[in-house]
Formats: sequence, structure tokens, C-alpha cells
Amino acid sequence: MKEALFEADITVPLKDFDLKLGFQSSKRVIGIFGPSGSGKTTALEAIAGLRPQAQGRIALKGDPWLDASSKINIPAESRGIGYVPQDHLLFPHWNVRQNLQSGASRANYSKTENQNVFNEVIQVLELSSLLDRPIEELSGGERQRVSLGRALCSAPQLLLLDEPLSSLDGQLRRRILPYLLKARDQFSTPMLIVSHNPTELLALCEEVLVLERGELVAQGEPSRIFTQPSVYASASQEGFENILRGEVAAVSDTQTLLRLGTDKNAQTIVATQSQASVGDQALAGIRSRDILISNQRIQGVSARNWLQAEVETLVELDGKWLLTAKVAASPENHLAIELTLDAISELELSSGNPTWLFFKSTAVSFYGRL
Amino acid sequence: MTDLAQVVSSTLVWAALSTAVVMIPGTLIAYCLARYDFFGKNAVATFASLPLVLPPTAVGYLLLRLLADDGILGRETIGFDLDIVLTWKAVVIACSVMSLPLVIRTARVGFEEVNPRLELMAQTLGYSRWKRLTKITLPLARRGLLAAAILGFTRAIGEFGATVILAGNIPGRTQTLSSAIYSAQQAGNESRATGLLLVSLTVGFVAVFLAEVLSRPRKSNTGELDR
Repeated sequence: MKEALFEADITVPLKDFDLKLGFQSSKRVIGIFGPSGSGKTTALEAIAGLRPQAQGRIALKGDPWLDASSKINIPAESRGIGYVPQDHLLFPHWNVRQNLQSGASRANYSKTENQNVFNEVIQVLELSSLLDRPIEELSGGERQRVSLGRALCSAPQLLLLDEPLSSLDGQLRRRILPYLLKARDQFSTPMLIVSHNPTELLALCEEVLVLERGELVAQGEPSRIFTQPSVYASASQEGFENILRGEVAAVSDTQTLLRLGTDKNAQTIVATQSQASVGDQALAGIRSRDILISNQRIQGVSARNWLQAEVETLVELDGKWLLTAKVAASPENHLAIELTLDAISELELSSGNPTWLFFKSTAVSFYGRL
Repeated sequence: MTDLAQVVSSTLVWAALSTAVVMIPGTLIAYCLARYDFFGKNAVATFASLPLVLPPTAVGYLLLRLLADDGILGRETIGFDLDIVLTWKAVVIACSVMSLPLVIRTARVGFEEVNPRLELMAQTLGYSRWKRLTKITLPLARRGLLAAAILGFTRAIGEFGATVILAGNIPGRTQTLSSAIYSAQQAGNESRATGLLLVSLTVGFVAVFLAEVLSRPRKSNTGELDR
């Protein structure tokens, strides 16, 4: 079995309940999902070493940061954490450049290496025009990028992101998510991301943990976890979107074509946004209730997007039914669709059936990778 | 140097000295009161505020009792003479004690306006406790600390009751602006009293004006959350 990259088995007493989080994972990008007040931020702060009450064990690559049985408790300043809090916490008496460099001294790099990392961070996060700006002049999205950049410049062993997009409005969220994707792919730092927004975690993570009132209730591959009936119920309340991964095949003034799959059977979907370049890897988000289903391709319908898919599961969910399907051209792309029992009976849907999914191009949220 | 100039300059020097003396413990106590919960916190805060509510002459008398020959810090107790009473050192000590509450209160507000989560953030970036204090907390609280120093300074300039009891009112040795006004008025020397009054007004106005400007909280400098 592959050695765990990260392991935690901690208990933190809280006002209403105890956070009990025990898991190990060999994935590099792990998400923690849960509604507000489920203990997500506490878990992150305990891992960062900011919760002195935390008991148990935390280890990264086998090195213990906390081990109550051996009386090991590495202080926060020695854990090598890159913390990106929800409220950014930029130092207001320093400008952007000083903030970015504020953690560089612990990085143990040579001067040249330090400069290289700094240059890479400002290039990836597009911060060069902001370097001499005071913090008070930055917008919410800029602050988020600077906060992430500061963490990356400090050469962290582990990046901790607390609700990285929740303080931003919908449009800004769409613009910042690509920066996170870029940072994830450009730097090899392991990441732990806390969010109540399933879209962020679907887009960014290789594995998701689900917390409910301090208890771990599910762990696994994001698209599988979020389509589990018990998790989907709360995910849909938080604006769940199916995430499809593909490559930009064409861009016009009004729309972008995203290709799913690579072979000759590849299928495309159309989004109305057009901030991308051909060849970019990109993500598309579609809400479960915006997808319609049909046994055959129908002519004379206004929906621009038609995907051939195969039904995987059908489960009941509070009077509705949730169908999961995999896209024929790219089986790594799974979608969840809400249906009524009538529709299922009429279409005679069952596991393994081929089917068509269709939706409007305006229903697609496009997350380019820049 | 004229007699008036000498009174003004000694008062300013003694006030500056007392400010320097009081800022170190004042800042430390203010930081502890702003950041930590500890047993007896309220008692410490109350005790440090006492000079604000006690008659200054009572504080002066208390200090005199402490420093008198048979006092806790007197010659008979510690074995040698500190030579404080009726000297310029007595002026500095009386002024320091009387300005301590104002310094603590103002500096405490300055520290409380700094978001403590910024210190935690710095901790995750590898900052030691000392580095967090010197690089984050003190620079962010600098306006409050400067305001505390200015208020302490003005309080020291205006100090009368405690100073007169502990240091006396000896022209050329321990006479300050306020005790000189008192002496001039008692002696019926109105022109001297008026001159000293104008100097006091000018120094007081400038100092309080600066303190007002500096102590006004500015969101951007205190690390307010922006959510």
C-alpha cells in the first residue's frame, strides 16, 4: 500500500460538540467539505498548530507534527505551513511585495532560488502590476491572490486553504478559481482545502472528506462522494455543479467550445463565455437540475449541448431521484442529474443504459485555466 | 538662559524623561491586558488606574512614604540613600507614576485595535514570538503607542500635586511649569504667571492635537477583517 502523504487522527473540543477527525490519504490535493459550523476551519487550524487543545496525531510524509502519545507538538511557526485564511489576513502596514516576501525568510532558499520562486508566483498569479500597491487599495479577488502568493513564496510543506472563494461573489469566483487551478498544477505542494462549496472542491481536489458536526462521514473521489445521496442533499443546497474537464477546441466572440475526450469520438460542449485560448485545459460547471435526459437525440430543440452518456446509478433522494452517468467520450467525467420517478419510468432508465444528456449553453459555467 | 526659559526647558526635559521611563512598563502592561486573560487581570488594571482617581497629593504622599528614610525604599531599609526626595529625580518619578494610567489605557486601545489573527498568520509564516511582536504588533499599534506617549508627556508637563509633595517647589532645582505658575500667582507676579500660562497653553494644545490625530483608529492600519 502506498505510504500516506498526510494522516490525522485528532480530537478538538468545541462548544457544542467535539471535532473527531481521523483519516489518511496519499492524494496531493484533499478537500474537506461540510456545512457551516461542521468543524472544517477548526480542523484546518488544528493542523496548522493554531489550536492548542488539539489532541491525537498529525503527520505529513510520516513526520509527526502532533503526537500526544510521544508528547510531540511542533509549534505552528515550525510546521512549514502555507495558510490562506478566509479573511486573507494580509499585513496592512506592508505593500503587496512586502506581504509576498514576508514568509520568504523561513524558506531556506538561496537568494537566487528565492527570487525564482517569487518570480514564478507573481507570474502564475499575475501579481506584477500590484507589487507596489498598499493592501487597502486591493479588491477582494486581488487580496485572495496575494494571500495565496504569500503562502506559496514561503515554500510551505503543506498549503492550507480556508474557503478560498467564499468571500468572493459569483463572477469573481469564476475568475479566481483558474488561479487556484494554476497554482495547484504549477507548484507540487500538497494542499488541504476547506470549503462549503462543492464546486470548488470538485474542481480542485483529488479526494474529498465530508464533515458533519465534527464527524467524518465520507471520504473518496470527489465526483463519487458528492453524488452519494447523503452528501448530495447538502451539496445541492450549497450550489452543487457537475464539473466536466476538457480542452478548449475553439473560441469565438460569443462562445467557447470545450472538447471532452481525445479520440475521434470526442464530444464538445458549448459555453457562452469566451475568456480562453484554444488548447487550454478548462472546466465546465452544470447544475444537476439544468440537465435534461432523453433516450435519443432529438431534432428541433434549442439546447446546444448534447452528450452521449451511460447511466451508472439511480438513487432516491427525498422524493426525487438522482441519476449518475458517465460521459461516453470521457468516462472520467461523471454527472449527477435530478429526475422525477415519472421520468425514470417513462424513459425506462436503469443502470448501464445508454442515454443522451442535453442542456443549454447558458447553463454552463466556464472555468478557464487562463 | 532666562529664569522662564529655564523653567520651561527643565519641565520639558523632565516630562520627556518620565515619558521614556513610563513607556516601557506601560506598553508591557498594556499588551498583557489587551492580549491575555490571566488571574488578577482586573486587579492589575484597577491598580494601574488608581493614580487617575486618587488626589495627586495622595499619590505624592504615598511616594514620599515609600522613599522616606524609614520607608520601603528608604535609607534605613535598603542601607543607602537613593537621594530622590526634593531632587529632579523625584519630579520624574512623580510624573511617571501620575501618567502611567493614561499611557496604559491609550496603549491598550492601540493593541486591541490590532487584529490578533494577524499575529497567528505571522506565526504560520515562521515568525517567533519576538518577531511577531516587533514586526507585526508594535508597528500596527504604533499610532496608539505614539498617542500614549504624547498623552503621558502632557500629563507629566501638567503634573503638580504629587510633584510638589515629593520634589518640592525649589526654584532652579525642582520647580516645574505648573509649580512656577502657582508660585508666581501666590507672589502676585501676574506677568510671569501669564507668560507661563501661554507656554502651557501652547505645549498642551500641540500635544493633545497630535494625540487626537494619531489615536483616531484607521481601519487600514489595524488589520480589520474585510469580510
